[in-house]
This record gives sequence, C-alpha cells and structure tokens, in this order.
Amino acid sequence: MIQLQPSAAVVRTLLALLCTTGISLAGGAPLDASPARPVTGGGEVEGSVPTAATELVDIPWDRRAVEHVWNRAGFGIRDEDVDAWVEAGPRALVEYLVRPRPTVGEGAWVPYEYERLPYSAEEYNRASGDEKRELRKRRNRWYRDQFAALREGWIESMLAGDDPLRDRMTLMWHGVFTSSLETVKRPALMIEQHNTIRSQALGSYSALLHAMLEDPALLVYLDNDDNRKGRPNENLAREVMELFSLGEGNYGEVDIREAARSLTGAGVAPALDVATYRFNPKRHDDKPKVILGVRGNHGPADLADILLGQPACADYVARTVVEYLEGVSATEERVEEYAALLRETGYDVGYLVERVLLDPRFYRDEVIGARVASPVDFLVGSAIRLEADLPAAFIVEAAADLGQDLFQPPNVKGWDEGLAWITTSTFMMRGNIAGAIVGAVDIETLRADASDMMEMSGTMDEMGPMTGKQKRKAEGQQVKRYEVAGLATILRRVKYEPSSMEARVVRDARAGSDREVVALLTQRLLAIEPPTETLQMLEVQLRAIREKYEVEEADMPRFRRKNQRVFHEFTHLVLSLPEAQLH
Amino acid sequence: MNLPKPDRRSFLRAAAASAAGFGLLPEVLAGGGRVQGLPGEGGKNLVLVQLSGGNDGLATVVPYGDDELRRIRRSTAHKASELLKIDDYRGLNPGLGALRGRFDQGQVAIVEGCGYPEAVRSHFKSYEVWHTAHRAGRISGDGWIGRLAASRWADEPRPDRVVHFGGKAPYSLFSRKQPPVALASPTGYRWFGDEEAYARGGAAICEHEMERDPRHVGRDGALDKLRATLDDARESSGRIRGAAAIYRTSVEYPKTRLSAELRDVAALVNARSGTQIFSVSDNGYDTHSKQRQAHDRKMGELGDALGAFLEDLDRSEAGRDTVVLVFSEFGRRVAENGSSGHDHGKAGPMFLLGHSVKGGLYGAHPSLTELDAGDLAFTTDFRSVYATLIRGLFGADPVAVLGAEYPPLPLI
Repeated sequence: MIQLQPSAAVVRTLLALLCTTGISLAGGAPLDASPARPVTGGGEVEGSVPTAATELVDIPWDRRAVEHVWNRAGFGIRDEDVDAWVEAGPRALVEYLVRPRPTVGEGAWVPYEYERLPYSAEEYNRASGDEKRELRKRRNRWYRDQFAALREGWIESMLAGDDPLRDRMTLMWHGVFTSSLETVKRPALMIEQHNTIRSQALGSYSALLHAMLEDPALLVYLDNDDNRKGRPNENLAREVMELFSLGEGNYGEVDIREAARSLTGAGVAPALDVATYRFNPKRHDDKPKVILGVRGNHGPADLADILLGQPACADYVARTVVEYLEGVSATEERVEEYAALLRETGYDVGYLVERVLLDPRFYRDEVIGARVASPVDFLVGSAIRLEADLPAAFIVEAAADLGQDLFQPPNVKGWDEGLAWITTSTFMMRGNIAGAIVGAVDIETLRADASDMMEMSGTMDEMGPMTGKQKRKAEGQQVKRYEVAGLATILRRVKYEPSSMEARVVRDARAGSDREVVALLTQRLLAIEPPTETLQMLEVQLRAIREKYEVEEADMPRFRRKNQRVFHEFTHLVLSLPEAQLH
Repeated sequence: MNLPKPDRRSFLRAAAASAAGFGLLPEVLAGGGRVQGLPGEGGKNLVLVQLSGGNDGLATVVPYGDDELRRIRRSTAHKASELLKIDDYRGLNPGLGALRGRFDQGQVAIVEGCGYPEAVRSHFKSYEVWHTAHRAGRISGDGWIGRLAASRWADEPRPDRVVHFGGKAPYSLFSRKQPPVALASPTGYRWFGDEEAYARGGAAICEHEMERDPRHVGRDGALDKLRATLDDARESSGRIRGAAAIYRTSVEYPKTRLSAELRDVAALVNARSGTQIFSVSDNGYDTHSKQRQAHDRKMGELGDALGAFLEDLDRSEAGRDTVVLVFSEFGRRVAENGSSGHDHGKAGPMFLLGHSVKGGLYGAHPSLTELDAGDLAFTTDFRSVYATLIRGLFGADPVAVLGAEYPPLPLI
C-alpha cells in the first residue's frame, strides 16, 4: 500500500504539537545544520532578508499557494489535504517541509543500502572459464536488481511523501553532481552517491562539494581515475568549475589546468562489485599551483575551499536553487540576495530553500503554474492526485521513456528542465501513459490499433492468407513495437487496478451536472488552476463521453460500472492536455 | 478496456485524409512499380544505420589478398573462395550480396579504415565520440545530427525533421533546439483515444480570444507553447501514421526487426513526408566469441535488409535522393582472443549507399602489420564522412556543425 500525503487530521495534530511545544520533531534523526544557521522558530531572521512578519503578510496564502509549494518543494498534494495547510499558514508548511524527519524504520535518510555480491573476488578468480561466465551472468542480474531497488525505492519514497523536500532537493542535486550508471557500471557506486547527496541535500553545499570530490561514482564518471601527475585529465576539473560551482566565465583555461593538477591522484580502489575513494600520493602532483589566484601545494580539498571562497560560487549555487524551484530565470538582485545568505550561513542550502519558500516573490504570477513538470513530477504527481496505486517500476520506466532516466542522464549537464521535456513524441506519450494509468490504453487497445493499421497498410496482403492464430501472432509482434506496450505489460503483470477516486468524489459531492463534475475532477487531477476555456471545452467533452456510454447527467453520482468508464476516459483526456503538464 | 469501434475508424479516416492532405493518394503508392511525380518538398535524405557492439571490419570488407590475415586469424578469417570479391585484395562478406551487385552499379561507397585519434575501446565512450564528433564526447554538447538540424533548419523547424525508429534515440540526434521524434514504430506515434477531443486541447481552444487574467500570466505563457506542441504532435502524427498506413510495396522484406524498421523508413521517404534524417540501429555485433558464425549471420541479415530497402528506395525520386550511412562505434582487434572471437578494437569501414553516392573505394585499407596497440590504425577520420554529408546532402557548413575542419571526400 502506498501512503500518500499526510491526512488533514495528521497535519492538524502535528501543528498542534508544534505550536504548543515548539520543539523539533526530528527525534533521533541526525541534524546537519551548520552552526551559523539562524534560528527561525521565533520569527526573527537576521541578515538582508525581509523579516518574517512582512513576508507572511505579503504572501497571497490560499489554495493555489499551498498547491504551488507542494508542487515545487514536494511532488504534489492530494486535493483534500490542501485546506488544512491553508489554515495552518506558510510558516507551518515550510517548517513541516524543512524539518528533519523522524527516523522511520532503519535509517530513513539512507534507505538504499547496497548488498554485496554473494561471491568473493577469490571465488571468481579460482573459477574456470565456464564458471566465470556463469558468475558474470549472475553478477549482471545482481546489478540489475540492486539498481532497480535504488530507482524504485526512491520513487516509492516520493509517492509516500515521507520526506518530500529532501527527495525534491536530492533530485535537483542528482542533476547537478550527476553521474550515469552507463559509465560507472557498478550500481554500488550510484547508490553511495545517491546516499551522500541525500544526506546533504538540505545541508551544507560546502560539505556536499567536498564529499563529491571524493565520490567514487563521480570520479569514475569524469575520468579522474586517469588523472595523474604528468598525464593530467582535465575532465573533472573543468566540470567542477563550469557545472558544479562557478559557472562559465568565472575561471580561465589556466585555472582548469591547475585545478586538474590539484586533483591528480584522486581515484578509486575497486574491489569486485564496489569501489572506495583512494588518494594515491604517488600519482599526485604535489608541486605548487595557482588556482584562481590562490597559490599553494593544493590537493582536492584545497580546490574545494578555493572554489567555495569565490564570489561566483555562492551566486552559482543560489541561482541554481532558486531557478530550479521557480522554473524561471532569476534576476541578479535575487541571486545576490540569496548568495549573501549562503555566505553568511556557510552555504546552508536548507536555510536558503526555507527563505525562498517564504519569499513572496516565489508566489508571483509569472511563477505559479508556469513550470513544465518533469516526467517524474508528472508521474508521481498524477499518482498522488489520482490516488493511483502504481508500481514504482512503472514510474521508473515511464519516466525513462519520457526522457528522465534516473541515474542515467543524457550527459554531464544532467537534464534540461522546463519546456525541454516536451517534444511531440513525449507529449503524446505522456497522454498514452495517462491512458495506461486509468486503464483506457492497454494491450487490447494496441492490438486493435495494430490490426487496423495492418489492414490498411499492405502488410496483411504482403503476408498472404493467414489463419486466425497467425494473424493474432502477427498483431502481437506489431503490438510490441508500440512504445507504451512495455508499460502496459508491467501493469498487467501486477494486476493493476485503476483508481476509483473520480467516482467516489463525484458520489460524495452528489455532483449531478457536467459543469460540477468538470470543476470537481479538474481540481483533483490538475496541479494548477485550469483556464475557463479549458473547463468549457471539457464540459462539452464530458457530455460526449457520457452520451457514448449512455450515462445521464443526473446519474453520474450513482454507483455504476459504466460511470467508472466515463470518468476514466475523462481523466485520460484531462491528463493528456497541456494543462496537466504544468505544475 | 477497449476503445469503442467508431473512434478507431474515424481516426483511420483522419489519418488517411491527412496523408492525402500533403498530396498523397493511396493509389499512388499502391502499385509495386515506380512511384512517380510525387509532389512535396524536394531535398536529400539521410538514413543512419548503426551497427551496435563494434562491427568487425576485417570480416566485412575482407583483405583476402593479404597473407597475414589467415596467419593471424586462423579460425575467424574467411577463405578467398567464400568472398564476394571486389578486386584482388578485398572481398565483401558473403552475406552482403545485395551490396556487391550495387557496388558495380556505382551505388556503394566504402570508406576504409575509419576511426579517430586516441581511440577508446569502451562501447559507450566510443559511441559518444561518433555521436558528437568530438573526442570529448557528450561534454561537448548536442549530437552531430542535432547540431546539423539546429543549424540547417534554424528558421524552418519541423517536429518530424529527424526521426529515430526503435525506441530511445541515439545521442547523435540529441538536440535542445530541434529534438528528434523517437518512435518505437510509426504506428505507435499517436495519442490513443478520441483524437478529435484531443485536438480541442490544442491552440484551437483559443480560437475566440479569451480575456487574459494577469493572475495567470505565467501559466498562460506556458500553455500557449504546449498547445502549439499538441498541434505539431497531431499534425506530424497524421503525416507519419498516414504515410505508414497507406504504404504499399511489392518489395519483399525479410522478417527481421531491422527490416521492419527500414520498411517504415521507406514508407516515409517515398511519401516525402518531410522527414529528412532517419536513424535505425541493430545490435549483435559484439562478437567476443565464436565470431565466424555469429558475425556471418548478422552480415546476412544486414545485407538482406539493406538489399530490400534499397530496392524499395529505387522506386521513387525521393528514394533515389536518399543516402544510407552504415557505421559502428569501433572495429575489432586484429588477433583472435581465446574464444575464437575478437575483442574491442579501433578502425573499421563505413558504407554509403544510394543513387546519390559516387560509388567506389575511399580512404585506404589499414595495414595488418603496422598496428596501433594490436588494432588497425585508422586511415580516415570518420568526421570527414560527416563533413561530406553535411555539405553534400544538406548544403550546411561542416565547420559550424562539427566545430573543426575535416577534409571532405569526393563521394557525393
């Protein structure tokens, strides 16, 4: 069972607890806040940021704002949970999001642990040629399962909404300090990188940068394992400046060469299926270097410190965070303001995020509802809003089909956000995936289409006369060539049942007119407020769908099987529209 | 749940109508003979065929005239008598019969010894080089076709200008500005549902100018763009599906996945549907063990698929305006490994096929004795072939696309 957003009742209890005691809910969870972090609980904030009192007045706090916070800082919210947060106010919501979570089960912050291969390097080395081949097959299966556990575990965490902001920021950093399993090969390294990023996602960027320069996956991904004295490899040095800390234009080619020298010798020590960080002094160039004007016998940690001391660094991190959350470019003024905050707090990202979420400018009209949801946002958000019990494996595969293959980004720049997610094929594919989620697109739908296409095209004639069985087989082969077929198969395998949320909601509200049902369901299904023209169009469409299934307007709240079909087909259309791609 | 019948029927009609809309009538392509006088835009087309896994060049264009070959490759070298000889030095793999015939007609250009400096033997890394045309790989930016599309058609973007068949598109097509359409098959390139209802979600929804609420300025700006994408999607879906649905050919394609994909390409090319760059790929070329059998089978599949495809392209002017480029990420080691196979190597041949190609041999066959760390040393930088195609087919500036100058070959 998937646990969705905390129910209104839970939220109220939680708030009561917060208000009366004012204590942290962190329990035994490790807290990585930097000592310089200002105390926010009392409402007084230091530094150049406007005081809490003025902000809270200026935030237009309503349902739209609540949903906006959950869309951007989490992965969406169920409609019935919105009102409680409207009542609770912005500060309560943001505190709820940034607060370290109570440890659920074992180590909630690091939920994915790699399990070592069930055989040792010695066993492998002793094995004969044939046995080795068998062991390698076994290893590949092992790797596949471990990788699936990581990806599906992460999606499950997003669906459960136990630590939404941490998942959100981990996803952001995964696109910044990115690595790909395709190059790294060992899932153990990807899991370790994920856990490191996760533990610092709302912590200190400074700690994260230091950790990443010792991260085995990143070192392998950017070839630093080959970076040695006399034979420098500049790959990591360049990316650390361009993509991880300063941004283009804030360093010179000489700085890259010198930084590459400071990173020589930082590599990994592989041991069968794992690899640990290893600094090899023999491969390290320990002669003096000048990086960005700082002279010394720099090593990797010195490089990190030099970068952190650059004015451009805080600017870059501030811009990255605010643009990710808002989805539009940030003004220089905003960037400078937030960068100053980072400097004051020793790069406390959690605090920065908190300030952004409590900044009235985060709620301006150009920002709300204007960002194209990433595939993960579209899928996880739709599952949450629709209350669909989707297997995580489905979401992982669907996101990959839509261009967001977790842990296998297209390149070192990670993923381009926003409109870049949408092409004509991914746009229609999103709609087809929505169809699969509501049960309107399944293998039989595809088979029918394949049959029609084969009849229309010459392929049937080319194949000559066929028996029914042969025809079905030919269709089956054709069906496999439909992109959405693989996803439909996953759902069939787990005997997935589409959500009946729509029927329940319409029944509970006794909504007996097309207009009411459209208003009710779009509010449930969409992460944004739809325009009037869309509501009017959908009203016409709902009527058409109803008539097709012979359901009277007034009969919609009644419990009938065909009503379910009407609602599913309606939901399919709604989730396929441009409006459903925004959040 | 099944979609009700009327919807599918009305879709099919719509698809056919839309196909007819760009000047195509089912009868035109129905016959097996020549397709003549199709209206629509002209221009050259390029079809990329990627042989994934590292195709062994020495078993593709076999230098049987060199005694070294059978000395080094005791179990994997072909006998001279098995080969389809081109001259007294080289012969084609017995599976490439279709290409051998066309070689004599001047429709096959073979560029021997293609590679690049500081070659890598990792599949993934080497593909990065081939796909981006940069030694640094993906860090350098978009794929070479992506950059070509963005530079050549900057002012006339078209959603289906570049199409990949068979799932995830290779990185060569990756572009922020002009992303490719990646299709499992042309039939799957649609929205499954009541298409007329779907269409109303596009720009048509705003036919009567709505009052814009400043409160929703961000949302409305984004919606405008997404609605335009929906329109593009429907339009190109109609074109692609329509072309595939009404396509008829008397050419018999083999029953392989590659053949099915090439048939789909032929449908779009012969319909001049507007797509100009196509990509397909086939795998199974990573022949680490028992290479002879496995590789000959792949060559047979490739030869037969290309044979049918080229025959199909012969039928139209658009087909004759099409060049097929066959490539792989690297060749294989000259020496055998312990399992009668060959490990990852470096240089290998590229093939260019079609009526627009000046057939013959290009570059130089790499030496079997003067090796680069056990591998064939490349004699032609593969980017020279790219540069040739960029200018020769599309009239674009190769330096702007590839970021450096590579001497073109006189093969277009």
